[in-house]
Amino acid sequence: MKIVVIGGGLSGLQASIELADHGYDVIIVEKEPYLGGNALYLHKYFPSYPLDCSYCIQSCRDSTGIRKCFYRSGIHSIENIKIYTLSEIKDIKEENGRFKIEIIKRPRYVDENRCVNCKRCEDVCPVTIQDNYSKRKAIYINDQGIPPVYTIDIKSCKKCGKCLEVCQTNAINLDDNEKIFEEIVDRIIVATGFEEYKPYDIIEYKYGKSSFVITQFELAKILSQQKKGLIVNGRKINRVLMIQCVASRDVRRFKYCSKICCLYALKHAIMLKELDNEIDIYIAFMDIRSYGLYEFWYSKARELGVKFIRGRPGSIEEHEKHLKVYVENTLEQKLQEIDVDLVVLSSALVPNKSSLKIFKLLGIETDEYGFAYEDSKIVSISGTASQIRDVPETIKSSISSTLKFLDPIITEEIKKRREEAVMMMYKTFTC
Amino acid sequence: MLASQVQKISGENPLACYQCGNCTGSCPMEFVMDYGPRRLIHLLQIGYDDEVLKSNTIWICASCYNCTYRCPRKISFTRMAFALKNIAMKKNIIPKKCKAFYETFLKHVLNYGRLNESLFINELVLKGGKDFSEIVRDINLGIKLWRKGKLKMKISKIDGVKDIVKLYNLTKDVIK
Amino acid sequence: MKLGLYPGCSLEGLENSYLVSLVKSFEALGINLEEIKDWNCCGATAIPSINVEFSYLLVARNLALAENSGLNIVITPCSECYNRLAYVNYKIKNDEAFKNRINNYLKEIGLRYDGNVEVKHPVDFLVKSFGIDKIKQKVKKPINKRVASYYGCLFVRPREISIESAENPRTMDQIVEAIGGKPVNYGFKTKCCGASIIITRSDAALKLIRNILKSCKDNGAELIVTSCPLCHSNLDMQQEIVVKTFNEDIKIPVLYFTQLLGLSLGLNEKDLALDKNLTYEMIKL
Repeated sequence: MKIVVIGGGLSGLQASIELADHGYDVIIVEKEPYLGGNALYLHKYFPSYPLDCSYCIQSCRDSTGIRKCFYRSGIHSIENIKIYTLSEIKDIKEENGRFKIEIIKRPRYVDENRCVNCKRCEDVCPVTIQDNYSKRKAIYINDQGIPPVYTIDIKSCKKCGKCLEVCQTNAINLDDNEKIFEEIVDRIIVATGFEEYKPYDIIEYKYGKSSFVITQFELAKILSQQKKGLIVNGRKINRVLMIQCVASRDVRRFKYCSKICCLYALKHAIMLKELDNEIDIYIAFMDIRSYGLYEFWYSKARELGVKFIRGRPGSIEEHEKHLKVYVENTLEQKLQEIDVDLVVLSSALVPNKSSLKIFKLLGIETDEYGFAYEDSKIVSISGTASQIRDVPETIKSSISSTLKFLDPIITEEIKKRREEAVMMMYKTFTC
Repeated sequence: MLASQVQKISGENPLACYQCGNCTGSCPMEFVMDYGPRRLIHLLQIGYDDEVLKSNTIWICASCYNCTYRCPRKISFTRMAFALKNIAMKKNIIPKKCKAFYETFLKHVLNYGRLNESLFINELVLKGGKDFSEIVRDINLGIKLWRKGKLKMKISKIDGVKDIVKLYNLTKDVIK
Repeated sequence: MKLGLYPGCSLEGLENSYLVSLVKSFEALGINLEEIKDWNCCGATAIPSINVEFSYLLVARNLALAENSGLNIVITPCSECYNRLAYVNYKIKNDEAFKNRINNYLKEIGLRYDGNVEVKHPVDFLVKSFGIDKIKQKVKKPINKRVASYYGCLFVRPREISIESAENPRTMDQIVEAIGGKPVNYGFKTKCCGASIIITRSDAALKLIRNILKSCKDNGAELIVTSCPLCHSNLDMQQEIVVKTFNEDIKIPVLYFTQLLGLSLGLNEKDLALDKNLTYEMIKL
């Protein structure tokens, strides 16, 4: 049996490995150049302390050892998994209980089978792209990326041809084209995942207007590069304020609680404190939802001196050298004006934009925000496509999403026992 | 209970508030209120009705709708404040200056159908709607307005005054 | 299409210059306005404080009168009136039970309102219905000044009646741009000026006015334009008192946007009642 997994994030990869281990042929379709999804850009996770991710290691049978190992080292060497990166599903047609899917693969401009990751092209590339979060050349590779080959960002590439000259394996082709593939599969797993909502529409919080108002995911990317102290846009940051429940728990935008923002806000607060103990951190919250064992993070943050203000800020004013936040401290019953250098918004988590198309093609119903409701016998929803989950829950949900495709082992004896149980029930509860 | 009365008049449910404080954080008048909007709603929720009606908050609310615009629960404190003012006024719990202002305003609407601003200000001063220090402060302004010819002594009165009074009498007892 | 006009009490009284300049500059643009006959006070924020239900009826009577005289659009220059009229109109159009309740009362005075009127603020009308390009064509004397547009609260809030975002509105700036001015961006565009409490708590209101004037001045504005008589009277009439109270140099001329528009269309200062502004002496064009 052949199964397609749509989305190569944490959930999609977990599901693929499970299925591959059971001997199925798996195709992973990922729209980005590298596998990993949201997790690729967040280098530390909250389930374990000291900050590391142990959950993935547990689930990885064959390759043990380091964190993220499970998709970094394992997945592209598994024989019955086929990976399409830079690819999207164009069409799905049902034919006699099987699916005919059309996959469009955008050009990478580097041949995946030839590139040996020698870094020569990157050294000679004259185009440098730098933003707040990273610095890279026009030909680049993600350090932890799979497949471990280079990609050309064609929008910024000047087509000078220098990389072509140094490439020993002739892997680079600047005239690469879009390709269309067709695959016939029996089952589909949808693992399209989530993304962070960019709160441009909450104008009072100045997101997109001030370069010192960022989201938690952006902070995570910045944090992954800081060694000593926090510097954003050239400004040394001494005071940070995080705002929880931005756009989520808001009846005009997203009514639901995004579930994990409290936890990664706490995680970032702790990371910041460990980076530089002098940084003042405020968290403006309504309720801290550190459920279950995660209470550890809440108490840890308090012990490290993170200042908690119960209240949702009214507005942020931008001044020359700082931002002024107006927030009612509802426990003190006092309107406070706090001057900070950086504001971090814990914005709502919403279904991935591209998931809507997939749900439509497959006829899967969604709620008003685009989270998938239910799955059928031949389609299964995995991970955060159906609701926001943290890493452990995502892994568990991915595993369970594969279960119904596995061949059940029901012997004659088990069948007989079941029938007996049903008969007993009838006898006992006859009305 | 006051909360349900407020809901009936304004259509806003104070019990739906989850106390985030966005309203107080957005309120331009918070610095002169004895309770901020968020705290007033909390007092409403737990049934401290006297404190709510006696607070100066509702009279200070400038009706700018800033809290309404930003409320994540889509509740309007501004409209709740209107309802609370209705109730407080029925119970005659009202600061002296406000009483003079609202009574004079209503009188104008019922007598002329419109507000005659110049006359309104005069009457207000006579009724004690302004402190002595404020009158002294504003005298210069008054003279200037007079010189500019902005103060009009002609009274405008609409034909439908009777209708207005009729409408008022119909709705007078809606609030108990 | 007949355009109605609901001037409101303030425009009949102290702030007559807004009405004069509105009518004149609209005439210059080729728009004629017809006043609603026998209109009454909209109730402002005072009547809803006394009796919410009665305040709805005051508004509904005006809307019914407008509908009776066949007016499809009512231009409401005062933001306070606009807020009341537009909100009640919105409620009537969207809430059947509310509509029936109001009409039951109106029946007593022989009126009925079916919700066929559209309430529009002149800024909204000029930008969205009339068209910025048409204004541009008629400009004779471009205003080459840095202009801060002050929107106030009630024209942009609450959500039900606002035509754009209340956090950073742009419509009035578009008009300023069209007549050759340079819009000033500042943080207090829609912060409250305290008009409804200027009488009962003037100490607090003066502080709000000071913040607005200071923000305009700090951001390099040479003029402020307003679109509401109450904002105008606060920023213009109370300016001297504010300057005295806080002892700061925050003097700045305040005009109605219609006055500035009229000037750019080639009308003279007298016609636009510019001399009635208390900050008239400061205006240098």
